[in-house]
Amino acid sequence: MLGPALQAAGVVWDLLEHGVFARAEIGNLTLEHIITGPAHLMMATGLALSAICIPIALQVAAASPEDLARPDDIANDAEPMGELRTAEAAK
Amino acid sequence: MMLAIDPGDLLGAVSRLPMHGDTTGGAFPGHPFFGAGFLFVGSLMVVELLAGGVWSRVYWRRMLWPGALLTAAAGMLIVSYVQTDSKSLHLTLAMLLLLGGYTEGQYRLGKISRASADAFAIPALIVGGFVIGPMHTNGNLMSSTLAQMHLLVGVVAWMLAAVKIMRVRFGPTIALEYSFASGVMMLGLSLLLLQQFHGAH
Repeated sequence: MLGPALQAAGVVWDLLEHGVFARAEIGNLTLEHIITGPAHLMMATGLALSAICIPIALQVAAASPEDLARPDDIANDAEPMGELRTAEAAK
Repeated sequence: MMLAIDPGDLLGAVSRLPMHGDTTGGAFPGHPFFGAGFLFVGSLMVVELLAGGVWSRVYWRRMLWPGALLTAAAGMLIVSYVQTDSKSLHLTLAMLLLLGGYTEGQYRLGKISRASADAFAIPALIVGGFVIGPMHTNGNLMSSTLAQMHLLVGVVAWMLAAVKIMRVRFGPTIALEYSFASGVMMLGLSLLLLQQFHGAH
């Protein structure tokens, strides 16, 4: 739901900008504003994120619990740190 | 009810819009694109943590973070070439992003340890925070909303460095990984906010 949430935040931002804070500028829109407007880019980011996440969501839904384990690097890093703490505690 | 929109009229209306608005004051619009990029990559880093092992099945997904840093470095090099002011600051950021992308890539390829990658990432984030924050504001830190927004971006970079330091101190935890990914999203959001206050708005 991260993508739709970003899109919703972008829509709210845009409505606030054009409906409340800068109402007069709605008649003077420029192409640059349309392309580089932060609210517009946030909506575009949310849309792209939603599109990219569809196949990932399907893969996660079809995966086994083992496949959903946390990335190896977190686990591998955690082990030496745990050993270090155990060794320190034993001193 | 039928809505009739002539594509020719639509294209004509778009082409009549002024090509150079006042949102960036004629400057290269780097902040919004970097902001959207970091927001996008930060969101994907959250998705990476949610998806677990499924994410790393595909090579490009595993190399997303270093790839994003290298792309940002290339973008920053273009900014430092095109933009007439603050060239040294942009070039410094480009070098930090380039080296950050390289070390993160080496880590993801299993060639160096997380500690070695963090040994570069932590000082780079602290220096980057100073460059984009207090140094980039060009004057009193609290003199304008724009200066405060620049400072906010710097503070977010320092927060990311703090998360990395906590990772070194307390070991990797899923909470710290989420914090870093959310921090990258926040970095993107702060750059978008910076753009919001950059020009006439």
